[in-house]
Amino acid sequence: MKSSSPDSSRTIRFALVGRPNAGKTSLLLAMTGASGLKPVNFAGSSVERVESQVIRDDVEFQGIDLPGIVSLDPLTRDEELAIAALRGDEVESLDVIVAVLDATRLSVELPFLQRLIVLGRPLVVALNKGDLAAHQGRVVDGVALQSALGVTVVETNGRLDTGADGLFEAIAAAEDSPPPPGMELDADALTAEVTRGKGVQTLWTDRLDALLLHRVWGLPLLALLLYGVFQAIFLGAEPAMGWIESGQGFLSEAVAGWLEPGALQSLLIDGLINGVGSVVIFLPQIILMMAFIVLLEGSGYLARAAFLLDRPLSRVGLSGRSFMPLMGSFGCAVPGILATRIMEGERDRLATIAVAPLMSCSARFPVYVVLIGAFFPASMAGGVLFGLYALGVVVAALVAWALRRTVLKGASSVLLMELPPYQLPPIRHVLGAVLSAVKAFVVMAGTVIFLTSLVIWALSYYPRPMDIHSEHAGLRSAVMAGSGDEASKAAELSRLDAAEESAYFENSYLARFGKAVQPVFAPAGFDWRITVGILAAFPARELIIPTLGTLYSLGEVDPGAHDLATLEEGAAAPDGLRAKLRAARDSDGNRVFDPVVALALMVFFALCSQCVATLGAMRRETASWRWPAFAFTYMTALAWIAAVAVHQVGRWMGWGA
Amino acid sequence: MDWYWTWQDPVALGLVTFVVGVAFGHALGRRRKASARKKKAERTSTRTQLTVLDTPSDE
Repeated sequence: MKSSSPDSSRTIRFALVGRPNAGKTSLLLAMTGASGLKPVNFAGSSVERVESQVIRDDVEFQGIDLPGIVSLDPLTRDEELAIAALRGDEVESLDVIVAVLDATRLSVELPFLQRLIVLGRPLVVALNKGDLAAHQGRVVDGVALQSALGVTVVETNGRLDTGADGLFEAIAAAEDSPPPPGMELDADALTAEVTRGKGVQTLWTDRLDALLLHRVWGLPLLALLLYGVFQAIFLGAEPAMGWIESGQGFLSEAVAGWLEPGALQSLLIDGLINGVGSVVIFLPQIILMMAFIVLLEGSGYLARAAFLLDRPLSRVGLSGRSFMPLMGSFGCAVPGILATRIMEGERDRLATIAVAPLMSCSARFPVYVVLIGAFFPASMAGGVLFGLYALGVVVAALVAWALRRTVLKGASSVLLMELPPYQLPPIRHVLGAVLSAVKAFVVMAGTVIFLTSLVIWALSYYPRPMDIHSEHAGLRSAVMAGSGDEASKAAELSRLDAAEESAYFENSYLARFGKAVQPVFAPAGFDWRITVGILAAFPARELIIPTLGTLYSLGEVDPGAHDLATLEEGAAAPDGLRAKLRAARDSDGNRVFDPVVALALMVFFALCSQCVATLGAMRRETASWRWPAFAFTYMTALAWIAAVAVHQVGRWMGWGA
Repeated sequence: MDWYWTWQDPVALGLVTFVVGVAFGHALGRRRKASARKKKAERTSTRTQLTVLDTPSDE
């Protein structure tokens, strides 16, 4: 992370070192204003070193935010990273160590500081969270601490953005000073000496914890809070999603009015506006999800939730820290996977990333709604929908369990964390995290999704054989020359246009590929058209809806039109696509869809990895193509096996058909 | 097979080819940069080991 170009004469490299949740990231953010930092009230949230640069008074300060450590003997990978940097096992060694001490836990922090002094490097103490200590009735005297230690002590507050100037001055001065001498100190005695006040007996953090971590009420309260958060994400995102849809519709209409029908119009509308738009529509959800995650993390509640859920999750080989990424994946797996950064155990983190896409995300919802509405009575709709969501959770638990006993074998990381006091995260931290997530998402939509949409469009648009055009041109001329009123002629012409597009589509490269691949899906009861829908939906699941719509020559079918309201109305208000799906016949006159095929298809969608954005996020978070390739393979294989099982068992039981 | 073409087809196909080409070139450039970084890291590894030997212990 660079906030300025290095053109100054003097360079000082310093590292912020401290115990977990001492406030190092907040402090570096306050010092340098680097936008990529996301401080949270959760021990172990920084799992990689983050660098940030700033130039002050012609001196270039290079700050490194190291993962929190509790001693100089590394236990985990992130601690190893921090300790290696401190010992100087790097090409560019550190000039100054800034020991960030949490003023609320001074008696624990002082022995740690003593170990840092032994390293024999220039050192400055940043006494952080003084406001919280004062709030707890204990005021720490920085000046008294400085004279007792013989080390410069600067009172800082990363959350309130104070003390940065003094710290820069102290760092610059320390670079030229000799390292502090090692000393023996009695931490408890020194803490008592520099602290005024005894602390209040019952803090509001303790009172809140008595309720939120209650043996009986803790978990139901967590469930209620999460239900509220997800409800707020879905409801809150709805108006903005509506605006994006309207914007998409407006743009499509503008292009349609500006350009006559043809390849360029189709590229712009079907490939670009609808292709990229189908992904951009999830941006409001991502913004809200990220804001809620930062609020929950920053307040300190996430640490409690992780503690409450540690036992159930550890039974399947995950840890308490997995729950937020997994919950987030119900909205969209992309922010869910980004949220695994808060996890410190690498094996737990990889297992969580590998199973996160199994949570039924909002992109699966339109697919479920269309198929349930078409093939199941309204009385069964809720049950089938719940079953599909539950299927994802159960399979995720089984896969995590299997992974932790095979490729990710190893001791489960023990959830050992200090529960931080509750606090309200500053708005700039929330905005910073949201902006960073939006930037990552927009870059992804603008690159991977954009490219994929164009390629899928080209494959489903070409070739355009002349004989199909000539045949339909002839039919159009016959309609024009025939008798009948203008309205019926216009209707017939538009039907012919749709039929021509359908004929091109059936002949397209994507359709040819679908027909070639169809034997693979035959055991699940899928015909070539469903196969094409599945293939077209690999970049993004919801693409199956416009694809099936085109295939059944219905023109455009908007995936967003299939919401819960239409599901509840059930079969009483069938739309064109549902009616067509029910009526669809293959070349032998057999029905293409029945409840068993529809269920097999939904189970396939519930388990299959059909999302380029998710695979891209996995690649970024694991820094390797191995994990996305593994997730894609195992999920597709599982989806196929489950879909075949549903179809075969269904047929054997005599359902459908 | 004869294709039915309008003036829009070469424009649309040109745009798709251009975008795919740019993406491919960009990916290739990133690969080159990554391999250069890897080579540089290998060159400096000896220096790192020397620094480790020279580091004071905290014991």
